[in-house]
Amino acid sequence: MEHAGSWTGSPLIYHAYKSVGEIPDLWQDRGFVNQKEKRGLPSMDRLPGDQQSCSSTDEMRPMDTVRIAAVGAGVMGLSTAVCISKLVPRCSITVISDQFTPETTSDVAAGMLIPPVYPDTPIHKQKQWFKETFDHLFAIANSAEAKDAGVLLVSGWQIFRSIPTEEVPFWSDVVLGFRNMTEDELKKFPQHVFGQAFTTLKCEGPAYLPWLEKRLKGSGGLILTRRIEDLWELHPSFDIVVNCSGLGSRQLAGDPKIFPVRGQVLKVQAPWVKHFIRDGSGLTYIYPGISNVTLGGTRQKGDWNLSPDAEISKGILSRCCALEPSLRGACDIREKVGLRPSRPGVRLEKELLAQGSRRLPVVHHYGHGSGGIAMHWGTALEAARLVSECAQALRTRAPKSKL
Amino acid sequence: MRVVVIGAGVIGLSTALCIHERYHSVLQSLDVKVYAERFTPLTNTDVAAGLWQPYLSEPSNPQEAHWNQQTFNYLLSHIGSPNTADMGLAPVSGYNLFREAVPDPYWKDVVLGFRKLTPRELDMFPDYSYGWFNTSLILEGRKYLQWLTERLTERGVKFLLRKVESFEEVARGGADVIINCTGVWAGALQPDPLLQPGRGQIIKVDAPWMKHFIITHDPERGIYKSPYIIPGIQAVTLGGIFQLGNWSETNNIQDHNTIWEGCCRLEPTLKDAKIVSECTGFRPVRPQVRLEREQLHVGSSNTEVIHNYGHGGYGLTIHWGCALEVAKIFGKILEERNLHRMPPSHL
Repeated sequence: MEHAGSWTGSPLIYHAYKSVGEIPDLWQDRGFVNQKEKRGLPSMDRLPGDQQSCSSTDEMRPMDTVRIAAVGAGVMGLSTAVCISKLVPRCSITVISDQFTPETTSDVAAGMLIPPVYPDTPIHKQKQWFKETFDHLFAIANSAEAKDAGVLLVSGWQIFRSIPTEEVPFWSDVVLGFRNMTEDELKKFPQHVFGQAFTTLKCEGPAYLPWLEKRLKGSGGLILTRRIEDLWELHPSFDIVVNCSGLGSRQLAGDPKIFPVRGQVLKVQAPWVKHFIRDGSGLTYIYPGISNVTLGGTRQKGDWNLSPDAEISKGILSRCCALEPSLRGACDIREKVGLRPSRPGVRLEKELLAQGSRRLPVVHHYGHGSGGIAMHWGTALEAARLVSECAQALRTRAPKSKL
Repeated sequence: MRVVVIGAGVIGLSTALCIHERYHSVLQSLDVKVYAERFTPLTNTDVAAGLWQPYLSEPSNPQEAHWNQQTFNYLLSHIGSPNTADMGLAPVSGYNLFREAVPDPYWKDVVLGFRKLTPRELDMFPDYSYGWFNTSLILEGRKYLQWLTERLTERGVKFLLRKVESFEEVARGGADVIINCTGVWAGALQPDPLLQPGRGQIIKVDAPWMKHFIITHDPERGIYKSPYIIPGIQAVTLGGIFQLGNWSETNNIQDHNTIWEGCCRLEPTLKDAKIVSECTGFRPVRPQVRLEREQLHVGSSNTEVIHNYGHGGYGLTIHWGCALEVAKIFGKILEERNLHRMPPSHL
């Protein structure tokens, strides 16, 4: 076959692995050459003969290396990739995204492990995901890696202006030391009549995402900068796609159920604040982190605007100062906006895309709304299991059959 | 009425402020001065981590328990005002860890939300099998002294850098009442065999991910001889040194290693912490606080001395209760001298 001077079809680098982790010369992983040029576009983006890719594949790689692409490099894409690299034998995993830390939604999130409730997901599942995430992060928090991973333990209070219908949330025995606040403790919040005290974890995107990337690279995973407009672009370079594109799934999966819930926050300097304070409504919160305190927030359904609104910032500061007056001394106030990828329930399922004779197994893993960080590891483990099932299915087919 | 406070640590400055707050409006002639050889940041108060927490066992003088509680409530009453950070004051929660079950401390209802640790919490600390969780307060020595200095300066209280050699010298200088807040150095003004230095060394690190205090206890070794980690407003204090009778003011390398190894074992993440500073201080250790009145006969007049020293490792914890007590004694002195009939109603 003559080498095509130009390519047709998928604009993706074709992976030719002799074994997992080996990178061919014609295509260098720019990902970690240096942090700054982290994910530059590879210079060679021609496929060496798209039409012949299948047979070339068969000659150049072991019969059953499964090539997996994860679309999205927020907390879902990266953690799923890490889980896959551990769970699925003989695979290659590539994370593909147009946005990376610190520009993802996961970077804006405070990352407090206080989960929301998904109306369309059974409670026992939510509790399982939350517990798995909590246990995973708790182990990191107690290890020497905590600071690198951006994980820390924080205690504090969730307070209510009126007694909540559900006094004991489903996650009360997952967090540490959960109990009702005493009367003396409630005196600090004269406008509130009821409260809960507990210790939970905070997992900060700007540190955690790079930490995940490092782990992924350590097990041979790769990272590509590319905006994917259509999941079919990944065919036939990849055998399985795991879709962690969050709001991007509106287009990539044609899912009308996913919509943004805009959240604006302030990240401020107030190092004397050692406790979190969260109003039970979830609208006002103070979350102290490693290098700043997150003040929030807003919940604006259907709002795609990523620019901070000055009036909203004033409102947030005012509401938070009402709960914690010492915040009047906060300085170096930075405004951030994130669009929560909201959905009535997390979409965590397989789908086999078909177009003519082409088949592309997809595992959808998106729609975590405000519970991304809180649920990520549990759902990533499940997504990895689904990917593993897809890989198994592929391997049981005859070796040279086209997908 | 000339009052001289000797000593500018937390005891001296808070006592000066307490007296001035209560009596300046009813006593026109009230003139308060602070004499000290060391001012912030060179006092022992500056070295203290500043966590409000009394010793675990009941004090030999039950009044001290009351003074501790008064101090906590006084500080707590400031929570909710916008400038607590300027005072060096902030709520902080954390862990007290033991190798075996112990009775609850007498101050368990003074702090907030006191409870025992759950098994999962204890899993975080493999060397310990029992413990408490509660919310207390941090009162950072240096910030608080700066704040007290500002409040006193606003009120016209003067500070003089002076090495006082004797009470008589101060009395001859015109003082009517002397408040002796000389802490661990009180013996230089009047021998006190009950007063000893409890040398402490601490390492301050940059570890902003530490939001909780962690204090370990080893009953065989004694108080402050077991690792402790106490987050302050900016830095985190690591400690675990208590040496009775040691007057060495320089940092000791073995003590450094003891602290560092003990705290890193307790909290592995500290290995990433950058050291900001290291210092030595002397807790003014005494079986109980010396808080009492003494009359000096200098020439033809009587000079009153009110002693307020010997607060050990709980100076910040007890300071305001003691200041109130001194103010009460001061009020009595005024009454005796017919200078002021009724004590102020808020005393």
